[in-house]
Amino acid sequence: MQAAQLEHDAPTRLKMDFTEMERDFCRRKVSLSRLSDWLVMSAACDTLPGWWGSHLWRPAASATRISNAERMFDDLKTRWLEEVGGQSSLTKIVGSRHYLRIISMGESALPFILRELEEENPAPWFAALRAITGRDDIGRSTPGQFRQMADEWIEWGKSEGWI
Amino acid sequence: MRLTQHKEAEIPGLSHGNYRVSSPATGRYNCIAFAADDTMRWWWPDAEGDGYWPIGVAREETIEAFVQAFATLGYAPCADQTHTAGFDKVAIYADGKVPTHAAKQLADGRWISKLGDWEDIEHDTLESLEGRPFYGKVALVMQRQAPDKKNRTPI
Repeated sequence: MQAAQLEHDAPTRLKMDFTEMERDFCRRKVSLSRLSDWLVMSAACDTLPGWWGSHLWRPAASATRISNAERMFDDLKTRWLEEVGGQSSLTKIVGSRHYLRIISMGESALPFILRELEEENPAPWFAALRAITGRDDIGRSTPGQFRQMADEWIEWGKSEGWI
Repeated sequence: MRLTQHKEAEIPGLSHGNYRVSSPATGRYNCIAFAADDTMRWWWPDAEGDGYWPIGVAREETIEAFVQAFATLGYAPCADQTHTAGFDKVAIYADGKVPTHAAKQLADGRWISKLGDWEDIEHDTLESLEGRPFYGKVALVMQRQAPDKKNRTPI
């Protein structure tokens, strides 16, 4: 079977698997722990159908995603700071592939970037913040003063419920 | 006091005995700001507009733009890096034609630099910070008559 066909059929097959799994669980043919393992795996793939998907396992799936996002963010941030340490060029600093990968994380990176802005002397996260949020009007009155620029973004983060 | 091994390795010209750390690491200001006696801002003519850059100077990463930036502080290009009593000197480094770093001269003829968001260091020569891919080479030296420090207005 072609890869594209497999991908197309995946939700249907998972739903069928789920129906069987649920039925077997109700008939006590599978243990709760096995069902849990299966649900966590499916939730991580965002393929849970019906009520299970929208209620019971949504928080678990969300928590998994946040945890993965945080791990990815921390890893990329470490690599970024190692790569650009000692450099003065903001062009080089925000042009790093690690920085660009953080931007590609989209809104899932926002809580962690805003957390980084609490540092006494924050790194220049501002280009990433503008790229992710589409806001071009925040922190613009004090160029070069990263602390003040960060404070404006923190205010925005609070007003938007990110902090 | 020395930089960490990792940082020293990035700048091969630095070795034990030809530099010393003079203040702790901070991301508040960078080398250009430090050479301009400004320890409150990060100077850079980035297209995004996040760095501070003097009003009226082209916001571009060229040696000419950096010369103009220091000219706003009274500096003009000069012939050499030797210490001259009564004059402040700054050196601009570039990798090819793209500026990378600046250092300023101390009263005893040595130099002092802020290394990006790392520490400030005093170094015996300008050459000790040269090398690719970090700061490249010294592109030019500028000087100005040393202002009267008592009547100096902070930037």
